[in-house]
Amino acid sequence: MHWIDWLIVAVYLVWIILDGIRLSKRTEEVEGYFLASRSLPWWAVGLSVMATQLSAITLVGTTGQGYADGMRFVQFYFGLPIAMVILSMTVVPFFTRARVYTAYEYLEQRFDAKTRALTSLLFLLQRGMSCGVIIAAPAVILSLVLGWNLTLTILAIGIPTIFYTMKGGVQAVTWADVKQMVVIVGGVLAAVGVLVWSLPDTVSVTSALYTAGSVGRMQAVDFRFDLNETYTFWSGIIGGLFLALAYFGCDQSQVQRYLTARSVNEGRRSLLMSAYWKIPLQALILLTGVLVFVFFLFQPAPMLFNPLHDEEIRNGPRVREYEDLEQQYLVANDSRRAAAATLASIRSAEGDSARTGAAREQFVQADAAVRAVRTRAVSLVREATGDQAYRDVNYVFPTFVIEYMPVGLVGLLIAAIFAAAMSSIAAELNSLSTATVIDFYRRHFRPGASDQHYLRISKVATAFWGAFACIVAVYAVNLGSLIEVVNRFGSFFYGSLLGVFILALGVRRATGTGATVGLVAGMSVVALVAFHPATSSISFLWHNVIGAVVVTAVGTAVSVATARNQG
Amino acid sequence: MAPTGTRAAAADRDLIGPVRSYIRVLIIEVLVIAGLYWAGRYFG
Repeated sequence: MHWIDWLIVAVYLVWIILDGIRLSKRTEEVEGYFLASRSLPWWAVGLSVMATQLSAITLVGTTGQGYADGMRFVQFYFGLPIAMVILSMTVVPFFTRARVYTAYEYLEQRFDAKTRALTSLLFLLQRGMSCGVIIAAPAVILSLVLGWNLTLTILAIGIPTIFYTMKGGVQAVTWADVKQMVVIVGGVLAAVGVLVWSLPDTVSVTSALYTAGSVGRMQAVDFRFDLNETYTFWSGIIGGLFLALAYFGCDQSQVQRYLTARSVNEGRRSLLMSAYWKIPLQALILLTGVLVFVFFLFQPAPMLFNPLHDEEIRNGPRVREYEDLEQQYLVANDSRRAAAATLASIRSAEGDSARTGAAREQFVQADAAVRAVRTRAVSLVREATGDQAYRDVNYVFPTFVIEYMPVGLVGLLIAAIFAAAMSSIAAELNSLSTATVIDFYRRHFRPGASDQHYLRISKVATAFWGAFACIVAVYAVNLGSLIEVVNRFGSFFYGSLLGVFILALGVRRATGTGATVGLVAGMSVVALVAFHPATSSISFLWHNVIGAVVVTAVGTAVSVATARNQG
Repeated sequence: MAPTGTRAAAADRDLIGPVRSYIRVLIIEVLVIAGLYWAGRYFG
């Protein structure tokens, strides 16, 4: 990387830390530190909500999805705007009027202390682990692509984030999120600009998109109803709705964002910002990946973008096989480049003619040949190294950035990846510290202490969770399957937690015992569905629906039965 | 209390919230999905 790019990344890191702390006011009070004294404007809260959700792995992984699979992943977000409307009518007014610090505190007001403790504990376990994964995933990619030491990369992401979160509390987190969203969107737009600019003279933007579309990359909406297909219109609009309701309505890392808003209405407006902008933003990020695909049609691309095992393979017993695949890849890639150029130029000149159809068919076949070689290469790496978690697509976008973006923009894009990681981690650390102090320390161990005391403990809790996340990150990078375990645990937890909140807000007769039994039943059923051979292929998005329905049904039944027995 | 404060307090008492904004969100979502679907058909 050029020194100017290093300078941009360094300036970005210093600016985020210093300005976040400068803008933090009244952080010597508990309400100021955790909830910004409920004083933040809706647009800052709205940007913070979006920045928290957009982690580095979303940015890098989504562009990779766009490259490999096209626009289909956008369907994952179709339920989000509906969820935001429902949450604006339900939890936002309920939580704000209850004057709670955490979502789980509300459950004690509604049910009892054990329901609060159990849900808050589940949140701490899940988020504590996932925070490590959120650091680990971009750290692995950045360290490989930039040639940095992995532990140092984890610390470069973790330490500044822990520092400004500890120092400035939720205000530093929110104002940093605002700037981070600007950096992320600016970086993505710059990448789109460079990608469009880099198209060959004979290829217009329309014919580039047509070329990508002819191999399915522009297919965004799939109306088939198939429970085993991860991304369809139905899984997005129903499963995605439940996931978004659970994430934005019951996860403290999001709830804490809109509890900082000035009023109920400003809290609502902050959520509606995501409702308007989330799908277009994700579509833009996926489109960036599609344009990277087009870019590598006309530029030399490596057979595999992830260089993790390159040296091991080249010095191992299967080197001949690997080199054969590289030769096949070169030939297949050359013929695909020629087919793409022919298709794009005929399409530009003639539109949808018979010749365009023939050129399209030739390109589809050439692309299938390239895909086949790449798939075999990935399988070979997995077999030769035993690394079953080996993936290639997450490295496509960083490789493009480092090797093809102009000086200055490389720094901006690397800063954007850092920004995406830091914004999510900061919000999680802040919410983990809040839940630890408010739901456990103040509630069970030291009620009635001074604000200064709780602030000291909060900072210690932030540092603890930050250190915990960094340690998990170091181990997560060596245990690829750990990432999957954490994500699976998240899907067991989210729908079931949503069920508890549905009971709290929507079922008048629900009791604490009913909610607790329902929660255990919901998580057990989701675990059964996820691991039973007959149902394990059901897409994880449906787990949220199953969890929420089981908890609501069992919780209501148990509540009614226990009330009848007591009566 | 100033008019703005009164309005803000009234808005805070309003349980449902800005219904027009909700309808606008849903209409825009339908348009965005229709646009994505059209792009898939047009370029595919």
